[in-house]
Amino acid sequence: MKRLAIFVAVISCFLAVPVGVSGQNGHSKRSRAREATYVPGELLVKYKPAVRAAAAGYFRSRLGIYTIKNFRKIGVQHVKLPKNMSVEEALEVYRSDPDVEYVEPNYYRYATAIPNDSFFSNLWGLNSVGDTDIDAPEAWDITQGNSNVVVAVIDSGVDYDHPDLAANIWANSDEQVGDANSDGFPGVQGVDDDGDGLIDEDSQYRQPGDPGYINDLADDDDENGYVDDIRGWDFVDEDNDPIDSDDHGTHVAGTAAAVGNNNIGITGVSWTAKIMPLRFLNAYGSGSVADGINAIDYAIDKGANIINASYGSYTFSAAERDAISRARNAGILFVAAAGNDSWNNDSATKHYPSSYDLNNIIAVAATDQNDSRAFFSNYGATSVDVAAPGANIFSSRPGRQTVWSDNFDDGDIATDWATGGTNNFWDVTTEYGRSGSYSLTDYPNNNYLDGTDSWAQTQVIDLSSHVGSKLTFWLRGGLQSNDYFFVQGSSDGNIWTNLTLEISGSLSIFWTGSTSSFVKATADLGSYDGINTFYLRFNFHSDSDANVAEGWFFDDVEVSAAASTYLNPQDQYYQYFNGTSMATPHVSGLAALLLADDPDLSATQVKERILNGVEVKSGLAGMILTGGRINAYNSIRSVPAPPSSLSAAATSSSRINLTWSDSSYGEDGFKIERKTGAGGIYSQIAVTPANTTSYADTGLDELTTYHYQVSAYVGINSSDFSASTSATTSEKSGGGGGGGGCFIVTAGFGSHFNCSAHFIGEHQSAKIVSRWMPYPFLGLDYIALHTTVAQRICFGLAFIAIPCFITFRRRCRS
Amino acid sequence: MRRTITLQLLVIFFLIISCADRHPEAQEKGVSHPKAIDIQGGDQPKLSPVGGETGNYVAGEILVKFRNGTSGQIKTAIKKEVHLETIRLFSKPNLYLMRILDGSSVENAMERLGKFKEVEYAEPNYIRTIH
Repeated sequence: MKRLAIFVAVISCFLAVPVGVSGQNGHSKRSRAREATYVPGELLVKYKPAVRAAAAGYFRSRLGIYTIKNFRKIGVQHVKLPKNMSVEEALEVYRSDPDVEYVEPNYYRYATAIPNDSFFSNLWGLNSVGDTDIDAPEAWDITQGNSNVVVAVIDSGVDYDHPDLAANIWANSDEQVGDANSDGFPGVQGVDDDGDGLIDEDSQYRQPGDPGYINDLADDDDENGYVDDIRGWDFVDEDNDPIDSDDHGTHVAGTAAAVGNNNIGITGVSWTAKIMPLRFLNAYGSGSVADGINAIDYAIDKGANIINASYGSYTFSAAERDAISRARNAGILFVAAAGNDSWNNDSATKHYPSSYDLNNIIAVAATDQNDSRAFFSNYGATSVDVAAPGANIFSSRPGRQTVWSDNFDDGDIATDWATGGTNNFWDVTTEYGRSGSYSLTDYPNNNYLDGTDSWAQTQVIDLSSHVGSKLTFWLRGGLQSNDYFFVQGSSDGNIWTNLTLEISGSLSIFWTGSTSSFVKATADLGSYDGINTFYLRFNFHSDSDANVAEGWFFDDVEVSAAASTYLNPQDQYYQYFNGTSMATPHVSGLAALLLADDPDLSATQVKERILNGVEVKSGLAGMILTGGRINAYNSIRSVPAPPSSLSAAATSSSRINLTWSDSSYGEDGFKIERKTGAGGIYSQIAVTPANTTSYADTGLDELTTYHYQVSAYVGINSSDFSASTSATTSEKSGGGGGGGGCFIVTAGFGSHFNCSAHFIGEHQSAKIVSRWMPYPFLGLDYIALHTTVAQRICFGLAFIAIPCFITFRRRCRS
Repeated sequence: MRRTITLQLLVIFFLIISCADRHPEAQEKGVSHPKAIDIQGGDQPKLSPVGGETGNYVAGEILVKFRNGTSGQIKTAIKKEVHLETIRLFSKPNLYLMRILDGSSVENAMERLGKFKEVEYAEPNYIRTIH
């Protein structure tokens, strides 16, 4: 657009204004530009008080700008521009008018959905100052979730009564406790309720009339083989109570779908999706593939949309792969943790289930607050798809209660323990104590004897009203080889079962070795839930050789169970964890948001949205498939991440080189837009292929400032624009441009506009035009001088020119 | 009586040793394995399960997948031949979790099952853990 701008100034107000060469417009930088930042065709204008009344009429008659609303008290007018005038053009017009105090676009303000959950500021993975988060609040502007979306959390169970989870726990609407219709058969008698081709089948898939039919599932209303499964299933203890006796599954469930905006605690990535608790990992987080497969098939059968699998190990299972393949056929997305061993899953030893070659699996690595790969996180350029926040993740913690405990600090063993066996010297001792002075040991103040086979057992412990029972205790000391220790449980004090203990990540029944500090041991007591006569027994065994040692010391023995009430302060029901397990539910929660926004998306479409929305990070590039950390806001709009670090450099009078960082995955290419001058309008000038990071803009005019912005695109969807940048081409001839200190000096007197001075805000191409003054020195063209020289000239001009006008015409280019 | 219990315990203890020793991954050559990282940064105790590292699968259990169309009689015959009993069957995929009755190792049972063309695959009931 060709325009003339005439600048007049009163002599007493003369001034010299340096015009920068780079032309970078500071306020145009927006780190997180939105698609539209202001209302098109509208402005907010404040005129100076003296002209307020006249101004509106003037602009309406002259430019066709109408006032929509007049804010009388503050003197601001909300104006509507004519169709052929852009906001940027109008801004330029207003800004060059001395009667305008300020003018600005009618900016959009977004109701960015920051939930009121009390610990929301702890959730750096969702929203953080450093912007290493997944942009959850921006995504929540579009959707906060939908309760029709079901995330199966296949894990250590879920604390389904947790105040921040209870409202989002899935309920099996087809099941009641007991036989809902009292017909004495699974579901409705004579009907194939679950559609598996069998009618009223028993637990061994036998139908009435088959040999051996036992009708043991009469209370199984939905005929899925699981009796009274009103809220999922516990595949460890084979019952309908998937309570979490570890704390892993509860943490994972909270990150994916804790109740959002409920004033307490945290929020999940999805505020409202349903959590289907499926327990196959026990009190110390260990489970079998067989139980995991059952859980996957349960999720398929009961219509889960997403499976969160924050577990794994380094063994390939064809049966497990088949189960995930069945989930794929059912349209279920399987989100799997990549593992915590800082291991490359592309190497010969792979982590499963994350590394199966199935296209409904998203394998997830963990990032930290610096957007780097968390130091523990596994990776793999082909086997790991995306990364998500997984370090210092704050989420829900199960409510627990102590059912029975002994710290031995009463200095007495007889009250709580009975002892026996060969070489029995069990007693409390002050040799070591983890808490207080006392601990329990096999032989206080002595090495144990060879040939020892002794035990100490608790009095009766009542677990009749408890679920999620677990044993923990601490031990230290030393044993010689072939001497070992084990723990037993009993429901009657007569028949004893050896308990598997988890100590420092290893599992076994029998333990030897030594430790100079107290370490924790855990056993799952879920199979004793509901037993009112439970007994616990510590056993020690030494072989017959003379190699003996001090033995072991036990302290802080505790039998705990799930809480029945939740007490204040409620912050005790939350905690920080690290792990790819914590990264995984960020992805599951995002998948739940995507399905809330568009329920028709297939699992592979959801996966594509998540992968294509990542922000590529230098610490992840080359280590995982996408090289990026998930971004909910990008994925939910189905756009790639915008390019970053766009910079422009003029290399001649007609060429500007652009470079940027490719921050997107799977883009089809980049769209480059350019405008001339700050007031211009962006239009697309080029499209470059995928993975390009530079473009040379040639054939440009000399001494002109060009502004650029770049977006990535996939199909018809383009990313947000990069932050804009600009550069100014040099002068065509060799001379004059050096140093670039170009100044426009204006002087005048008696302007009918006002006593004011204007400067040319753009660049060097100003031309002094004399209107009334015939003197030759006013014929200067393209002044390029240092500030002090220019000021001297200015002063001279001012002195000589009185009372003449000097005006400057700016040479403009389209 | 006490002696018998001890003997039984020792038998179990040696079974664990034999399982761990014949662990398939332990025999792989030239393949490095991930080392667990203690993400809490604490000291690793020198406690050890008796018999070295515990197997990464459930002792005495095996997952058996029969080819589709395998008749019940053939399944029963194979189970009898390899000394297996069904712990659990999975209705849709023709998959069975079985217990090894004759005390032989999981590897040994897998090898014997592999000889039947009706068996699509047989594998240990691997352990999965939290991350």
